Amino acid sequence: MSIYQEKSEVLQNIHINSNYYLMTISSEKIVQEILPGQFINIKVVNSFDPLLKRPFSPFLLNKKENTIDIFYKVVGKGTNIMSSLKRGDIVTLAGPHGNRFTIDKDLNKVAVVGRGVGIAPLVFLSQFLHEKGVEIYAFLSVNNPQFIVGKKEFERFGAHIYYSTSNNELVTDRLWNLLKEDVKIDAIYTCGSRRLRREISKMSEEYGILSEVSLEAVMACGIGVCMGCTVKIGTNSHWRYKRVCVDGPIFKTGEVIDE
Amino acid sequence: MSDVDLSVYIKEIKFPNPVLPASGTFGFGEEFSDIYDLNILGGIVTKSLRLNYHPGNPQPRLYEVPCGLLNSIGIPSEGYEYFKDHYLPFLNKLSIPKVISIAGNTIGEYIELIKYLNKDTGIDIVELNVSCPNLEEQGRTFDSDKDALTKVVKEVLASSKYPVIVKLSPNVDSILANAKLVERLGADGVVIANTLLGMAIDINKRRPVFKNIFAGLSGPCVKAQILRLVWEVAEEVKIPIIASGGISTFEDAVEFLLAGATLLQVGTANFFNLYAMPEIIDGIREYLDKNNVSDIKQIVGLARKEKML
Repeated sequence: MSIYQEKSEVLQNIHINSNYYLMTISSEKIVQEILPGQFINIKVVNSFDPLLKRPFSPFLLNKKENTIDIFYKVVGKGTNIMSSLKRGDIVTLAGPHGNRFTIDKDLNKVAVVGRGVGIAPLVFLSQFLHEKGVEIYAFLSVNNPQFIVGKKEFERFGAHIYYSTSNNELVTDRLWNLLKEDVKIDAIYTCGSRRLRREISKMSEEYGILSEVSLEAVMACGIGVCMGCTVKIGTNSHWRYKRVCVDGPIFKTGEVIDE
Repeated sequence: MSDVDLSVYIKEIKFPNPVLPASGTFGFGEEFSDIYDLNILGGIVTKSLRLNYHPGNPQPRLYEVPCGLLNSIGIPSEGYEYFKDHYLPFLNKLSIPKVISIAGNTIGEYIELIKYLNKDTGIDIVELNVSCPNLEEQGRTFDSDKDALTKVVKEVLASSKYPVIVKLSPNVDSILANAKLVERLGADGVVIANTLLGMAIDINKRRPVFKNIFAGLSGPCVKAQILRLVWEVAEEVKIPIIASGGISTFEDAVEFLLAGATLLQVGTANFFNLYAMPEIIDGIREYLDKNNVSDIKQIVGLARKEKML
């Protein structure tokens, strides 16, 4: 599969809430080829500082309009500059990068379990699955119930939405209950929290359900040459460093080893 | 297309143009072959190959600084057997010169690796990475000590059927002294230079960011320093100089040529601009064309000569 580097125009950049933003950018080729799980790398400004591109999952795609929505959180220099971009500004995109979520043909019901900005790749995945008629159970872990990332989008996909804040029941408890109620979930996808990933790995083992996690990492190249974004994959006795950018960002929840 | 001659040589090996990737920023080429045709490059320089599998360092491995990048990757390698089965067949399909970078923690490892490479076909040059910790000398890098450097370069030169270029570290008392030393020993070129040592501190943890404390600094922020080193080495060393240090644009590339470098390695720029090398090659060609220079070799070291072109 090809990787493209293309100029892209900022079409809108909206401050959503606290340090969350939603940016819509144009894309000629990447938008047509990128698949759920994959990411794009954005060089937010044409200068040497910040030097590197920043990796983001699409939040939503619009293939007719050739646009990609990016839901992002301001965490440092790159995203700070990104938040100041205005309509008409030009950025450089590279991608599609990385592997994809495993999507079996006969999926019927899936659970997506995310936290914070980690919900973004799950919205992209759900957009894709909804178009294929898959029933979605969305478990969203948030700090502020007034503001649930992706709520509007999941409603649009007809998803069953469960959310929790740190004060009430954990989303994973709700998913455990759902599984106990014999709701046949075919796959679980997660992003945004170690705790979620570990808990889902247990569910996967107990119920024999495929479960995958989208990992985040600091990266330099995005294409597998710099070896900077490695993560330990395998078992404690038999592991290898894998590159989040090309061997991932999607891994089985049970094979990720915390360093 | 203009008919400017961009070709340069190391011994009898002809590079169609002087622009190569820096080791460790281009893998073994396969990833970039999905992005552009590698045969437009001057050659390829592989990630440093080790004799045996080595996992590399734990996280964190990267830390961005203004106009630069700190890395502590630790030269992970799948080892020679994997290289032979997986990377060499790909490399052999390329028409450009193949420079295989080699790394080791003992002289024995280098020599055994060379012996295997000697049996292979399609390799053109060995780039000797001497900035690895020498486990027989308390982990000091091979080029931090004149005797250790002499020994490893001598033995590799004696074993290798290929021309050998030596990649030198700037983190030594005198890179010029090391360059003169490896020239005297018979090396076929020197790469100036490996990354500069730097560091970063996490102010919340109040600890160094990297487990090894120091890390290699690369990117546009090192260009001026490495240009100065190339200038100094070019004054006294006659074997080809391969410049490596923050080259990100064709203007950077031309500066290094004018300072006396014959070949150029582009490293960190490959990370933030996937088309850095094709753009640099085009830029050099246009620059020469615009200035009516028919052969790139005419501008190598030109800035040090009194007479202007």
